Amino acid sequence: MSPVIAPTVTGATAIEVANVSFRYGRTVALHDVSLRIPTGTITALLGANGAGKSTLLQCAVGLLAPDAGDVRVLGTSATQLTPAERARIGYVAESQALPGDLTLAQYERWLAPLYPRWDHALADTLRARFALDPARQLKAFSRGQRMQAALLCALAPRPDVLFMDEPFAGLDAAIKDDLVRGVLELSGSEGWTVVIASHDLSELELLVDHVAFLANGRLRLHQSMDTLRAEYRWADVHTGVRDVPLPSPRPAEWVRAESAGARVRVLLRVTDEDATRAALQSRYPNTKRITFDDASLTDVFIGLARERLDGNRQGANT
Amino acid sequence: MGATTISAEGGGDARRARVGSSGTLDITCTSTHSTPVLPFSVSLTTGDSPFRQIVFAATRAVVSGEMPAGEPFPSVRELSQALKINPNTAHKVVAELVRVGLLEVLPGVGTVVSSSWRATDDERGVLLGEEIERLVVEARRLGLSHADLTGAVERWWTTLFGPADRPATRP
Repeated sequence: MSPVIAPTVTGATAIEVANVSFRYGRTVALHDVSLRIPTGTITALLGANGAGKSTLLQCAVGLLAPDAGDVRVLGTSATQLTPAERARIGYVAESQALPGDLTLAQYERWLAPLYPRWDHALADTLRARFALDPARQLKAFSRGQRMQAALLCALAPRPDVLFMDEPFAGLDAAIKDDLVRGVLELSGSEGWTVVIASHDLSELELLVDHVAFLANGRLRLHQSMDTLRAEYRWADVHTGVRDVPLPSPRPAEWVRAESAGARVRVLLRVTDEDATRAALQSRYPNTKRITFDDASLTDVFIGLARERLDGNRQGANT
Repeated sequence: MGATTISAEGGGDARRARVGSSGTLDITCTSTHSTPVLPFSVSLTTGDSPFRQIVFAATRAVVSGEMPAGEPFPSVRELSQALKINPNTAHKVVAELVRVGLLEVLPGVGTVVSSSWRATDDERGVLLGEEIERLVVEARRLGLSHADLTGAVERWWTTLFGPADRPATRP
């Protein structure tokens, strides 16, 4: 059982991942992942390359069937979506396959009848915003233009749920800007839910309101950005004992821990300073002083990413 | 399975930086195509809460007269697009500015800068009491003199609202 630091989620659920496991041969891509994504939120699905992000998204859109567990999107198991339900779910992958011989206009004309809510005005707005030539064959588009075309085709159906897999990878800043603003064209839609997989939080930090973090196929953290910003802090413990060892295995709630001399620094969620103080004091009885300091999001995610290395050599000082 | 590359810009220092300090990203300069241009300027630093940064920037624009009474305030969608922020954050910003009375919702018109944004005596009391106390303590800790602090207050007041002896132009 992997310890997961999860948010208190209220309101309707758009996506429910329940105990999902998936293997490619002997490689475990996802291990017992459970998370509930509330309707109307934008979630960053973070993790290193190979952490299982793409596999999870492909399970969520029904491209892969989990070996165990189930992903329910808009109330239906992803493996049993009807065409009508599928039309309410958008998906943009990093290397989106597009029919290269078609022009953008031809492709849009082919797609539109498949989607009851295809929004021609929105397609026009996005095409103008992205400065895409509708008369051009898709194979003649640059990498960035292909991504923009893929996003246009995913947004024009006005999906209730949009999944994006590394949409910004390898694109320049101006194209990224356009893509983000394109995504936000739909922000007025009622209860619109977005999940964006990325290995880099910095490009999503202002856009998302929730973060889910995968490491080695396990969900390690699922939290709102507000909580991450406000409640994840460093506790600086002056233990009163030189060369004090870090506990092994690490307590689940410790995101990160470092020791130097008689000091131990622990990154953890602090909702009640006195309670945290008491817990650390009982672990280190000779403690003279505990101070708290703000942690950056980078601190938190470095801690979570590093854990996959520490898991095999427990107690190693980081 | 190479090295992990989880990163977020802005370390501990950026978190504590104020809006407009160095090392920030000037969002207002990146507008392209049909991106709405905001009637107030805001430079978002990563790390710190965008909600607080935007509420502060909008408040500064209103109290300094940069956004006069009756001026339309951007919609949630415009705010979200212009700053590339989460629509829920944009919604919370507008709701907060309405709550404190800087904006008002006019039926059929939208959200505009309020024509009377006078605060309560309680709110004034909090600022003149504990918040000024905290500023004074922090100034002392940093080794600033009485003159440094009052001089800085004077300069900011003049920059934002004009000479201090001039009566307030706002209600």
